[in-house]
Amino acid sequence: MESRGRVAEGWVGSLVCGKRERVCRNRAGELVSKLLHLHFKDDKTKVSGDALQLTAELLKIFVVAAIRSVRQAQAEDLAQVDVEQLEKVLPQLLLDF
Amino acid sequence: MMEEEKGAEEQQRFSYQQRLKAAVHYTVGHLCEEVASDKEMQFSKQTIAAISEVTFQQCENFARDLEMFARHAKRSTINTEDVKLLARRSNSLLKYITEKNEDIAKFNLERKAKKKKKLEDENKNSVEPAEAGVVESEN
Repeated sequence: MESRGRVAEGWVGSLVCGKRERVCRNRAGELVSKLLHLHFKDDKTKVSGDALQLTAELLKIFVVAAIRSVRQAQAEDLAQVDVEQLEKVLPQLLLDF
Repeated sequence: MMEEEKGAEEQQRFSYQQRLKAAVHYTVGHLCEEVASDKEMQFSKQTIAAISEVTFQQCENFARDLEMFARHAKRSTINTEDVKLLARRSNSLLKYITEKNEDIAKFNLERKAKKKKKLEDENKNSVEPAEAGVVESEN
């Protein structure tokens, strides 16, 4: 439980606050590294430090794009953003990536 | 016996995967909060869960592609060129990622230079007294 919080915090720290990014850079890589290694087919596959940082950036853009496009999809003055909005924008989002 | 071991291994992998998913969910939730507080709007729990599920899925695609790109280039270490290939579908995305890559490289270079300088300074300080001794004896 605790370690998960720390690792996630690291990624959040790097993404949410530009200043903390420099300090949390190592921890930011942890979650992304684990996520990537989970799906590698070959045990020998490694990721360079720079590539890890860049992948973290790419993932951040992905999430922010999803969040923003859901927001934009709100035609009416809804107080809540629902799954319907996400379903509308998902195809385009995935195509871009 | 073998069956049991295999079952236990699968269980372990599954619960590890769940922990990672939870970490992603936590992070996505934070980002949603940030955006929501800006615009006085809330994201439903289902939406946050859906976004983090999609993100987790996308990680799998990224990982598989990256591994293949590196392998295609006959490497076992994924580098930034492989990551840039991931961003090829949208011009603005590719441009942004290329710029980010240059920022990261520059920052890391500066950090290395600082570390190197710090090490050099530390060495100088420890060597000085000895040098003084040498100069004296030469005279």
